[in-house]
Amino acid sequence: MEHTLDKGLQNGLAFFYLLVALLNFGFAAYWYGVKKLAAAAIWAAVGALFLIHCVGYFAHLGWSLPFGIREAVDQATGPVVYTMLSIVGFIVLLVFRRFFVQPNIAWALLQLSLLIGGWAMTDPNFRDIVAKEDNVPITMLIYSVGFFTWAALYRAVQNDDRIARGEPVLEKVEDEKVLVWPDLVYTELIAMIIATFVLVIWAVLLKAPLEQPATSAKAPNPSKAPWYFLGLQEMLVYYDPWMAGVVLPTMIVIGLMAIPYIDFNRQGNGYYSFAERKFAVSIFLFGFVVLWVTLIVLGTFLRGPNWNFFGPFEYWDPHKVLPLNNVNLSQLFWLNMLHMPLDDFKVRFGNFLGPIIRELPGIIVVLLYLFALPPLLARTVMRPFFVRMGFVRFILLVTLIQFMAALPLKMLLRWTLNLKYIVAIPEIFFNI
Amino acid sequence: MAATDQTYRKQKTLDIVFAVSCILMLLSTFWMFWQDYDRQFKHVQRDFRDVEEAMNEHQMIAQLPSKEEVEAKRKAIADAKQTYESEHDKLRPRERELMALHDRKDNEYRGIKADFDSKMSLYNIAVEHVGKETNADLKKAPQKEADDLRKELFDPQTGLQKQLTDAQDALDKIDQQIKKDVTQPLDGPQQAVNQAEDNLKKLTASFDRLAKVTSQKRWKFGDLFRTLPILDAFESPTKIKQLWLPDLTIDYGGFKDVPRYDRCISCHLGIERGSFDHATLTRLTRTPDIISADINKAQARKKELESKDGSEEDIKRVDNTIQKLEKERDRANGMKARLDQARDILMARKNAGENLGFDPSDLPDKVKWLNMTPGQITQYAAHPRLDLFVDANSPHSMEKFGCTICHQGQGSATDFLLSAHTPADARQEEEWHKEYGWAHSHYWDFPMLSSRFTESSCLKCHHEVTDLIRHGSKEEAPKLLRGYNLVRENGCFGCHEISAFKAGREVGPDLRLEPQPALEYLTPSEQDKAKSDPLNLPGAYRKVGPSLRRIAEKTNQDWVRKWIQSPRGFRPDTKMPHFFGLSNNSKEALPEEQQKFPDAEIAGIAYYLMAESKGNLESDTTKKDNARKVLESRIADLQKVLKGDLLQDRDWKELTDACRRLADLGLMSVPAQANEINHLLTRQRQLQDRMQELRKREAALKAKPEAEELSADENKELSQAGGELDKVTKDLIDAGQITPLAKRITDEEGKTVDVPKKGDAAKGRKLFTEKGCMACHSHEGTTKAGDGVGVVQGEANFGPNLSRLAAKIAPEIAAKGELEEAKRRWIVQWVLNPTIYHPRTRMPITHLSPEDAGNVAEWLLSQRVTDWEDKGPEEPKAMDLVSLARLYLGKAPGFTRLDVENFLPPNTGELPGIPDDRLGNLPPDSDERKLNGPIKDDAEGQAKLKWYIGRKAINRLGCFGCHDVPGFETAKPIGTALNDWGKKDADRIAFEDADIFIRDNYNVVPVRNNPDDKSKPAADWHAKDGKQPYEKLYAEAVNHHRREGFLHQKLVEPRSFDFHRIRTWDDRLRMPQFRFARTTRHKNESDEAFHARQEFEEAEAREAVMTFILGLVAEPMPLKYLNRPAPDRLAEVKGHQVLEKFNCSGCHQIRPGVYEFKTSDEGLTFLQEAYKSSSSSFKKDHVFPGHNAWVGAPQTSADRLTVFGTHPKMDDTSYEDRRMLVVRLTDALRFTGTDRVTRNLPAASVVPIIPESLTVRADPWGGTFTELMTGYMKPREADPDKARSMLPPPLIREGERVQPNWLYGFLLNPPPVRPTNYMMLRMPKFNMSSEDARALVNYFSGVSRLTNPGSGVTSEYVDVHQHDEAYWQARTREYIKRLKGDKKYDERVKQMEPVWQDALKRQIAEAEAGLDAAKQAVKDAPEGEPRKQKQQDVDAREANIKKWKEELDKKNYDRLRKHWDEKGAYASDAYRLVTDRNLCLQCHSVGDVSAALPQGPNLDLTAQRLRPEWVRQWIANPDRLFGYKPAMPQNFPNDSLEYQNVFLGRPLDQVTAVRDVLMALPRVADMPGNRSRAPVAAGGTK
Repeated sequence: MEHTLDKGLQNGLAFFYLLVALLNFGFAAYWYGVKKLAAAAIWAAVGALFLIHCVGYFAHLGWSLPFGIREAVDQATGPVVYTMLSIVGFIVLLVFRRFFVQPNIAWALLQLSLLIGGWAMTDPNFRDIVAKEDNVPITMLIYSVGFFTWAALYRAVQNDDRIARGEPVLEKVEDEKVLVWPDLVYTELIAMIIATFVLVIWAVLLKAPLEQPATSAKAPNPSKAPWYFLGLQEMLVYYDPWMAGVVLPTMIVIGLMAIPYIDFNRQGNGYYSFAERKFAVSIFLFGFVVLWVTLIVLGTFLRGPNWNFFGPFEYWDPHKVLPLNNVNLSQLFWLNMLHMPLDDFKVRFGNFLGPIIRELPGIIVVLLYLFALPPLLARTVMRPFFVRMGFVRFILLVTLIQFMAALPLKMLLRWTLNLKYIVAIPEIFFNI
Repeated sequence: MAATDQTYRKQKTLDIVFAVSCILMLLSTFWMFWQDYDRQFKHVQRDFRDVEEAMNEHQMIAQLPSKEEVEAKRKAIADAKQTYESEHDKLRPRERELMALHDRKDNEYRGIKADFDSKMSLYNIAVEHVGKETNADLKKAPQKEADDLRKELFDPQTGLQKQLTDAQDALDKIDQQIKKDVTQPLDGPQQAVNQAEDNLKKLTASFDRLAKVTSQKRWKFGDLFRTLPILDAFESPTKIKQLWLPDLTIDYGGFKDVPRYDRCISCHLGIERGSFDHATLTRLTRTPDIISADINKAQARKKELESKDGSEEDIKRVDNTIQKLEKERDRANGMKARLDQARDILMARKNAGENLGFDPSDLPDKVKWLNMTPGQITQYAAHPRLDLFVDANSPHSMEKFGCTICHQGQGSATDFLLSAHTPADARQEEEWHKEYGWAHSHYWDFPMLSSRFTESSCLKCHHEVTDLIRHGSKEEAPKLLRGYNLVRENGCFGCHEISAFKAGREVGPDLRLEPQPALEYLTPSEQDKAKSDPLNLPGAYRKVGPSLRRIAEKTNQDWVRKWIQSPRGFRPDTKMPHFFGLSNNSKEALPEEQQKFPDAEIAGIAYYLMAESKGNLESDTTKKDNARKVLESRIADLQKVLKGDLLQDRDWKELTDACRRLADLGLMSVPAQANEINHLLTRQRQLQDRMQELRKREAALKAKPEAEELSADENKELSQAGGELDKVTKDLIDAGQITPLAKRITDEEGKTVDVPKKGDAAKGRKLFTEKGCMACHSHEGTTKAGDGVGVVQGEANFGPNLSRLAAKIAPEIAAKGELEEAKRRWIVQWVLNPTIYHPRTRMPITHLSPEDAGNVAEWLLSQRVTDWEDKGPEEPKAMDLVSLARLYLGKAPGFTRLDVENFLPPNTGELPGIPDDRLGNLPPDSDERKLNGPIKDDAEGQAKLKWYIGRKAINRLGCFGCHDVPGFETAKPIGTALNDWGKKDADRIAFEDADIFIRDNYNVVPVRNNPDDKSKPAADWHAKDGKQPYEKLYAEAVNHHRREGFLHQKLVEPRSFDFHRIRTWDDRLRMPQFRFARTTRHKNESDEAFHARQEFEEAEAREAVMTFILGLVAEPMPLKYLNRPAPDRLAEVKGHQVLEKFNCSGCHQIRPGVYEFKTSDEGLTFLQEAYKSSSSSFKKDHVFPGHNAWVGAPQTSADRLTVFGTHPKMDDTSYEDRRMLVVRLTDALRFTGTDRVTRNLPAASVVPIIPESLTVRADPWGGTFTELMTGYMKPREADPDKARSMLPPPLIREGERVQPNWLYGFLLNPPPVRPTNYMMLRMPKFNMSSEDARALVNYFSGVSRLTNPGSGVTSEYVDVHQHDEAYWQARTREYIKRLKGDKKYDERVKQMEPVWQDALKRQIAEAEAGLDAAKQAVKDAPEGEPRKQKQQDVDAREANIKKWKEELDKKNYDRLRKHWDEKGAYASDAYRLVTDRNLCLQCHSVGDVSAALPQGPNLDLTAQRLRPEWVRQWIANPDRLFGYKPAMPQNFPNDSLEYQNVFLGRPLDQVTAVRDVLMALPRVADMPGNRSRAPVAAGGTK
């Protein structure tokens, strides 16, 4: 294992910190320009901090993240922590959105991530994975999704305030008509040219990472789906392929198509707003950011050989074996609670009925979830929805949400009860 | 907001943004093009054109003719032309006159011809008209026209045709006149001009060609333009070059096989250009400045040496270097001048009007020097073996084979890194890292083979492996061959299957164990069955270790334990690997509770071996070896059932199987009884079959409604068969029983002999030294003076080193006080007939007498071992045995942990053991049965545990892979199959923590070989801090999980992959540690130097083994790529394997050495000298044209000569102070001298070769022992050739010499050929199968046909004409004619008269002797016709006798003379030659008539043994046909006419006559006249 940083890396880091420092100085200059001296001073100081990093690396002092911290981070992380953090972070973001949309806070978060990212790059294992050519888009994804989420919330909060004050929303204020030529087409042309330029440069600088030729005899380890499907692949940990690979994606597509028909809220159209569309925005962001994007990030950076979870600084050792002692619901019910052998069902009820009776507890749970829950919701917490949407639209909405919730629920069951399947009938490849 | 004309953004800003983005895009596009232009191979190709330019230029300059010569030649041309012109001028008036005439006549002729043609066409039209017209009237006009025209044309006097011929004749006449008057006189001058022009061409042709190339191939503007970025997309001179190999597909792991594209030649541009060799390319970089710098360096070095008192030799060497460099500098400095001169010459020629075909002003005006790194030089260099590879005419042309099929790597890549280059060593790796940023690529599964393993790939197509040897001794892939031999010798195939076939296709070499028992012990039909499937032939390799079936008769437990613990401790160069004391089972490596296990296990193994072999040797049935006991009792049980009832199918199968196995056991123990055992087994099978059949019938009858019974006859048959079956089974058991040595010692013929009493050690040593033991064994005892026997420093290690034998031979089985006797008994038996002890041994029967064997035994046992005091493993404690047995029992099928606790609780004292009721569930041959309780805490109880542990350990360690171990006859090899290991997926190899193990336990050294002398270790290659050296390349390979890294470490320390792992005792890795090199210590070598050398040699040997294993890739190649030798070559290839199997080359020289060297004027001068001295013998010689001993084969390449010869030695004295390599030719050498005369240096000439010019040196194959003995015999016989004649003969030309039938018989059972009292030793009888013998016979015939097509060996079989009556008649006719022609006929007849008289007398005497018997026959015959006939016979005899007596009285020999005239004269005179006391009889006996001093073979053997052609050539000139100067003289030299009164004819006729007699010897000697001429037995006068 490498313990020292080579010169090329240090120069690179120095360059990176220089850029970040300049960024901060620029930001400070902006605040100075608008006469907010305190902010200007703070950001200048932050810039200086980065500059120190820059100088240190240019001088090849070889600073690197202490091993203790790396170990601690590796120890602390795991799929549970990761997912919980992402959900909690999501909720905190929505609840304290007013805090987060302040430019200074957002900027501070960005700087923090850049600082930590820079430190983390001193670890060879982290570097190996993050710097892989085909993982670069994921890093870009993190920042771009972060930025756009922030930008949307920023506008939404502003609009909410305006609505509260009775002012027209920003979109209304800025509603200017522009000419197709030159305002639209010309800009589009420029955008196209710049996109081409960026792609060419990207292709030249980060060459396509060729690996060995495909063979049927040997699968790469880890075998990963294309990056945009890594969320789906993560689902495979918790669900059978027919569920994670067929049913859930189908539901996602149907759900996305169904949105316009389900949406009964006439407010919040054509402008950013959170207060007017709390439910819709939260559900969508949860589905997209938490259940899709964070899982992609998890799948890209933290899932290693054998689809095991690896801490960000951990070596991807293919020999690592994690305990897998998950049990099915039937086992929990019959064996652990009632002390009845599972093999007995087939003997007593035959090959067809046996498995079904064995899995009855799970089947009942699933049926309850799918069919008893919606009426219950309609009568209780979601009564206003039911009233406003009507039966069909309500059932559709609830079913879609149920399917969406199925993933975190199953995760929860796995982490708490080691539950493998709720219904497990391997005889006909039917597992839930 | 309403639409306005106002734009949203400022138009100007947008314009600027647009402009900037456009520029950026343009730049990015340029960058993209640049990236393409910047591709690595394009740089390489652009650089290469400089190399080409420089190469052409330098070559052109090298060919520069001297200016003066060119001038002279040109002047000659000019002169010749002038002469021609002046001659011409003289003739010009006449020429002009004649030409005018000619032109005039020509015009005339043309005019007539035009007329004729026109008229002819008109005539044809008219004739056509006539033909077409049907109206007779209308026909008339055209008819008339036609008639007129015809007249005009063909009128004999005035017709146009006549005019035409006349004109033609006139013209011809003038032409002739011109020729005579003008052209002919000018012929001479014209020829002179042509000649002069030719002369110039000869001088300058190659220079002109190169100059043309140089000027034309210079890089011109057009070329530059085409390679500019972007433009190079269209028809660029730089482009990817590739080879398409649709048949040599790449297998991407189970997908479709994909055609191979090799683009290596995109960068390796000079690969097929012979002139781009490494040295020449290097020279292109040696500018005068660089050379000067080198000179300065060398001078500095010299000064340093001088100031530090360096040795004179070193200083001289530096001086030499300086001189060389100075020469080189002068040459380099002179280049510019020579270039200018070249331009001058060419310009002058051009100006003189010569058409050069190019413009000399295009030539460069500067000498081009290149700046290339060593890497670039290699990149551009030609393949080093263009004779074998790449070149279109070579056997492996580039177009057919490509590159990656041999070298591996990614052929489709055009980038240094992506094509997966692999460095040769750590130094190169570092260079590459610097130069190209090289790093291990994990993405291509088959990276290029490091140059050290390139030979591996040969195995893909050369499945026989020995087909990589050319001329018998030149190894084309020496490393691979060495690896192959090491794998063979060390018996890797005992544990690892190396099979030739995969999915029905031949994919590699076949090294598999032979079946047990060996095929040759089975019945012929069983053998045929085993060989019936050509895709699954039985293996052919014997287990490499000795049989342990009778080990108790050889040694004892104590020794065996010490041996198993450390074989190399006892015998440093043994092949037996180490199983204990390794990295995973040495005391330090084991956890506390396992530390006693090694000793306990060793004790167990030793006990098991002894117990089982002892059982074999005692007839007490309770003590028999377990396997036999189990089988016998099972057979008895089942046969008992069969006697009473029908056997169930399963039992029936078990019975037949058990019988077969019992017989097999017998065949493996006492193959001498094979016939009997096979017979008994067949009989047993028949009886059992019949009984089972009857039982079935009985059952069928009983099943009927009214149950019937067998008939009385059948019942009787059943009971009889039952009785006989008992007897047969008992006989079978007895026949397969080993007879202990104490009861019987068997000699070579199978007869019982007495064990000799105490022998004479001194005699024993002499016998050991002389009788051939040292061809395979060595013994330190022979290196010490004493015993009145010469000192011999033998280094043979084909068989074990016997120095410490005395400590090993101590039979366990010997009774008290009888030990010495038992020891002697074993050795005597081993020497007399080793197959008794070890049926599959390769040790031959030595033909020693029992007394001699006793003497050898005495000496061997008297060599006390003083330098070996191994303590050996400790005696295991009861508790250790129990713990180990518990471990094994816990893993036995059907036993649980609880059982283990119950049966073998971890206590000392009495253990319950396995109770009887559990035994019932175990299979009959279960090992656990031995643990039947109770197990007491005494010797017997421990014996049970030891037996159990020993058996389990043997099973785990796979001892039976090399040894025949009783009880493991059907065990399967334990190792992983190797036949596709070479492409094993590295991901499937468990590297574990080997990298850390290496880091911690070895001294990692950058490179192994000394860069200046690759055959020596590098300076830092030695142990450091007790850590052995380890090459960095392999440490890296382990780090990067490359298969060669794993393999290397597996061979270095096979168990190291257990490092840091927690393993139970029996789960630890099992592969033992081999040492392949078997390095022996040199005299006076220090410990340190020895160990360093040992490690170095071991590393090289290991690499050889790796080369072989990495080549086992099991890639099926298309048939057309497989090397399928022609029959003769195949015979050579296969025979080579057999020769090596039996170490024939230990005694015999089998093939001459091969020496290939580049010719130079100096070298040729030496050859001419050799020819001069050799030619003194030519007068005496008979020359056999076409035979390669006299006439050399044409040389295959123009610039070098290949010499075949023996006895190479460096000669410092004879050749003008030059050190020369001197070789005695075995084949004639044809060479063209400096004077362009082609000469033949016949065989037996001595040829000097300049050592520096050698390109190939492969020394003769075999004869080590012979050479050893010639040294040993020096005190007795100073002449080495004479000494050699008493030693095993060379087998060079053996195929030409002997008849295959005879050789076959001889190999299987060799009788003495030469007089035993003259020869030092006798050919032993090898334990060889008939197939081996046949392979050898075919080998020798095949070799002769291949190497000497003129030898007359056209097939394996021989047709001996001398056996035909007609042959003799023809010869006699010729001979009588010759006698009469020479007027010697009457004289001969006169000479013959006494002979005839004697013959007649003899005839009469013989007839009379037979008369009495005939008369008696008449009396005995019954009355009637028979008696009459007998009486007639008697009458005839009497009449004959009467007639002959009359003839004798009258001295009338007409009848005999007539016979002599027709059939006898030739034979009779020839026979006189043979029996002349001055000739053959001096050294050879003929039949019963013995020579005065017999040295050669009895000539009676000749007719059966030798080929007629060879005998003739041999008698004609023995010298030419032998590896050394034979003792046989040339009796009939070509320049003398001796023995004319004995046999009339030229010497060669005499030779032929002698040959004819020899080829028909018993017959000719029995001819009437010759019997009287038989030489007096012994002691005749000369």
